[in-house]
Amino acid sequence: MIPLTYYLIFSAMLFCIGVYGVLARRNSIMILVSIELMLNAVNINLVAFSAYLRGDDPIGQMFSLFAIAVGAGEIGVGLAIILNLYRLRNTINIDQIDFLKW
Amino acid sequence: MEFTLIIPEIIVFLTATAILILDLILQQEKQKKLLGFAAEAGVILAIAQLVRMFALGQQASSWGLLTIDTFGHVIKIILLVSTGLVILLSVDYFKTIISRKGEYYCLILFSVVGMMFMVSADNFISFFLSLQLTSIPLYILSGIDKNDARSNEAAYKYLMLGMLASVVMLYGMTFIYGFTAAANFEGIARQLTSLDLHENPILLIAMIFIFAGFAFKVAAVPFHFWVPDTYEGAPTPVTSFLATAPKVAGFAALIRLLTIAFSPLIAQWRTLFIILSILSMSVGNIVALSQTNIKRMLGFSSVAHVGYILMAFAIADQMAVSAAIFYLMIYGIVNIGTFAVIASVMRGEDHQIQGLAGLSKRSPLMSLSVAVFMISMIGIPPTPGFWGKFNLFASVVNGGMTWLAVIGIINSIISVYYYINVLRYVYGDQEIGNQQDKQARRPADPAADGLNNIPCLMRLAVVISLALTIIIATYPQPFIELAKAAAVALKTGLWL
Repeated sequence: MIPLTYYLIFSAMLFCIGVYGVLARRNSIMILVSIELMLNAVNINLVAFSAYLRGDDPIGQMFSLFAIAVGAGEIGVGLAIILNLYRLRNTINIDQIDFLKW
Repeated sequence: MEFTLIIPEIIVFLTATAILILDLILQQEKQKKLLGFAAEAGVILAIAQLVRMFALGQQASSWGLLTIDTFGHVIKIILLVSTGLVILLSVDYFKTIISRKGEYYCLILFSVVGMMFMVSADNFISFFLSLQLTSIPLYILSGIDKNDARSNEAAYKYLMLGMLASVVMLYGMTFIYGFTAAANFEGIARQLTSLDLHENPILLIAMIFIFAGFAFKVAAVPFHFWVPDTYEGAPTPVTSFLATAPKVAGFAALIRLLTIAFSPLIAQWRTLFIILSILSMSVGNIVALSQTNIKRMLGFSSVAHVGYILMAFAIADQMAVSAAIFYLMIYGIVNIGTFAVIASVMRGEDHQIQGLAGLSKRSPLMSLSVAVFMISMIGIPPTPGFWGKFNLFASVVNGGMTWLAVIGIINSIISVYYYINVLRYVYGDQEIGNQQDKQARRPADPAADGLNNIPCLMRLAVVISLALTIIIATYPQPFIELAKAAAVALKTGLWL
């Protein structure tokens, strides 16, 4: 059986790649994808913990199902807002979304 | 579990659903006003039910997901009162701006249902779900003015940072779950007492991740970057909602999480909150000094107020927590009142502070309200802001951190400048400011300029907040008792 640590390291790497994507990417869609990567790291963590905890604790699996569903809803709203912004501004590059500045 | 305990939530939820259907039935634009009244009626009904439950002292912990107690009742009443005021403010504000009014009221009410559950949540799962139910409608609400690029940009910035914050928070929760094998707050507390923090430093990191999410929700420095942009871009009633209700709910959930789940780690998180509170107070106040847009300025001032409230978590005894709850009540009412004035006198303008020049000549009521609210935010004696700050600073001194209270007081003194600056324009001569200011002030557009005929519902919202402010100023004792009752009701190991 693969040790729990491997799963945790994998998810930590996935999380860090997501953070890098959020910080380095300029395209809004790519940022959303990066956030989705981070969400997947969370889900792997939850499921891994749930499988390795004493007596197959089901709470983690349940939690990850909720997280997936809510994440999908969030991405839906995010895409709608980005689409509307594109209609008004003709760009989804975050460097050009700068009306509100001091 | 008895369903009777979540009747207030059910009432608000059903009202939101009914509004969606009503929106389909009512075809004429004139009848759409009814939607706002329906929302208002639902909120008032829910408040009545909560007051009844508070009087009966109903308490129960159930399903391992929600705890219904006096603490929850008090916070939910604060939440619903501010929501009621926001709805009152919105009816006339959005008359022309948005086409689908049903969506607006329905989203506000869904968001409030999320907040009410968040206040009661005592499990990571129910907490996370209610947090998202709160946030997702708020993202849409800040971009509700679909044809305004600023409103959209506000929504975009709020959404991107909000999603990031919730994912980071969730990542922290997974580690807490993994180490304690529990998702409900009491179970976590039981397990945390037996874990040694030096052997499991990752617990500390997980805790910091969770607090980062919270700090984003309540807008504490260094997670406040969305605040000025979102406050400025969102339509003013939405800003007033953003500035109060989610913060009250976020603080309430934070109080429950800290005093119950993380109570064994109090030594660690107290230090974190000292740092957060000093940063928020100082950055909020200093940056607010240089703002020329009143909504941005109020955004930074709210960051500073969050800093004051966070001082209570640096002490985290019963007195400090009840002072924080009392401060939240005052903060909510005063902030909604201020934004209500801005919404009623600055429609269709770009919200520069100069725009308020000569307000005292145009509308004595509005200028009086601004004066009361601004003085209350500073915390000068006869106002509720004073009672709030007095209680808070007294509890900090009582907790043995006099130096922290001194930093808070120095910050309050800094804040005098930018609050009084607003009054300088409101009560000053029309001629105040130089030529440049005058040019900056746009000629009033006759259609948008409602200065001489502020709609009566907006007037009502201002008057209600003003009345509540004056009531708390003259009779603070019952409200302090209310906050104390809420703090006592928490089932925490910290002050049993």
